Amino acid sequence: MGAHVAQRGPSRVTSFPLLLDSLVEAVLLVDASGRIVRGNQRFLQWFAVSPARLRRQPLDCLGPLLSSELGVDTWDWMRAVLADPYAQRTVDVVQRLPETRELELYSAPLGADGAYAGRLYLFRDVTREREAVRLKDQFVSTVSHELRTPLTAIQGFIELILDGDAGPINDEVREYLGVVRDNTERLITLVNDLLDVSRLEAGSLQMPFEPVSLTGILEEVARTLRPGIEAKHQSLTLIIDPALPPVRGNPERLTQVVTNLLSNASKYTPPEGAIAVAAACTGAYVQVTVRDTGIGIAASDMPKLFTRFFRADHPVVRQVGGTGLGLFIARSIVDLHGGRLFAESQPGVGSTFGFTIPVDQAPAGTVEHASDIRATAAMMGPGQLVMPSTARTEERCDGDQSARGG
Amino acid sequence: MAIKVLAVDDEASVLQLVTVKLKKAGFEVISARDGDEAVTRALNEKPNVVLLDVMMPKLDGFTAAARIKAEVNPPPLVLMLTAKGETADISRAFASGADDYVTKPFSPRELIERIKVGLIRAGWSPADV
Repeated sequence: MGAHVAQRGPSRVTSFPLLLDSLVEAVLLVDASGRIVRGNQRFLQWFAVSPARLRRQPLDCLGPLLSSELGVDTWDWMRAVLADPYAQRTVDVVQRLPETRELELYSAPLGADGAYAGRLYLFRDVTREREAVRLKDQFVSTVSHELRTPLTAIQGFIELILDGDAGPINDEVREYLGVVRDNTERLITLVNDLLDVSRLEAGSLQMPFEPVSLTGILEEVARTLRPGIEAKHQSLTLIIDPALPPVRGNPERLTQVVTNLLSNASKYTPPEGAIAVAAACTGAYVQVTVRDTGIGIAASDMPKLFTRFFRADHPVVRQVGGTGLGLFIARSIVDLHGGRLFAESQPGVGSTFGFTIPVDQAPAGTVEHASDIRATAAMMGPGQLVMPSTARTEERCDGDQSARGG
Repeated sequence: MAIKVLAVDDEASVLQLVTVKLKKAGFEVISARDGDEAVTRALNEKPNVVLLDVMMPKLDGFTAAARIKAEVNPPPLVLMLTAKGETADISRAFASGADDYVTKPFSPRELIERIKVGLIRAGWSPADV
């Protein structure tokens, strides 16, 4: 970044401090030996230090100051990246003193032609951005709560009447109430999906991980959806490797992904069609596939499949109600698990949707640093989160790895 | 003797729904509109079952659940009516001493089934519930 500016001709060098001082970010430059080259005006102001205190001093002289204002973890992080000539990372930091600020700290090596000349630390004030995200999330939560309350009453009383709790009803009333019920369910799905999308975008989807049996989830979802599938005279087969290892994930969210894929398979497959669910271990991952003999997806639609609100232009798709959010949510959830959601399709023949989830690792010693995960998240943006590679250890399945590969 | 259920929700329509369904299912129903009133009625009338909404004025459902479990003797079966199944909410419900939960919007039929299962698990004879 700043490296090229610093390394060029003399006229550029004289304007370089001016350039640095004009930035809205606070910048600290350190040379290859760990001595401070310069802190820009913003840095001096935010951390209330005099230029004399920085000039040619080792970075360590800022240790007490930065530890107290940004926390020991942040200081350790700054020292750790200094020791690594290649580290280019971002971390979220909260400055407590002299005033509370939410900062994004970015650090990158400085150098020309592969020589390590020093290191840049850049502090960006993200207080307002973060506040805006929180307010939006809070707004969506409030709205969806306010929508859910009347929907509870509507859906509940419809069920009450259909169950005959208010006395007998004739067939015409039953039919019309069925339409009201189906549309209420659609509305509830939409509210839930919008809430999920909002939380995914804000990075505030609550998803604690634990060891999870995908076998249990697949069987449970199949049990729930089987009546509807059989009502369409479709066949449903499950082929699950009996030795499937537990994965590391969130059971509610993984259930949501499986439900989405299986209900899509049924929705977009004509009566008498076949749906096959398979689960097997492929090295460090468990892979689940849902194959159908449905309408399929046009090749031109494949790239848009996992984007928000995408709905294919097909008579069956128009007929089947949906929000176009299900696959976007499913893919975001799988990404957050460190897995991959994929699709293959042949129009008129059928589609296969599948996902991978990392196998649960032995508890032996691997501690994931929350800051590393956040750092990766900040760089990748929402929906693109991948777990740091350290989270994928060598825990593999007992079965034949050679044939299937990883 | 009928099983007594205390239904608590600040939303009149939801409270009416729950009350109607419980009565149809043969339960005796009393109700409250906020957490404070719920604790008072639970202490005075010793219901067998308490259905508690989470988001309520004065005293929230979690706090009310914890107080009812601690102060009412014998402690009733407590079910929480939570908003969408957020894991944190569910953990908090159990941490407050709740025995079970249903998420809004819920099926009244399922609510009745959960109450019955909970009562049987708590030692009631299936013939009585």
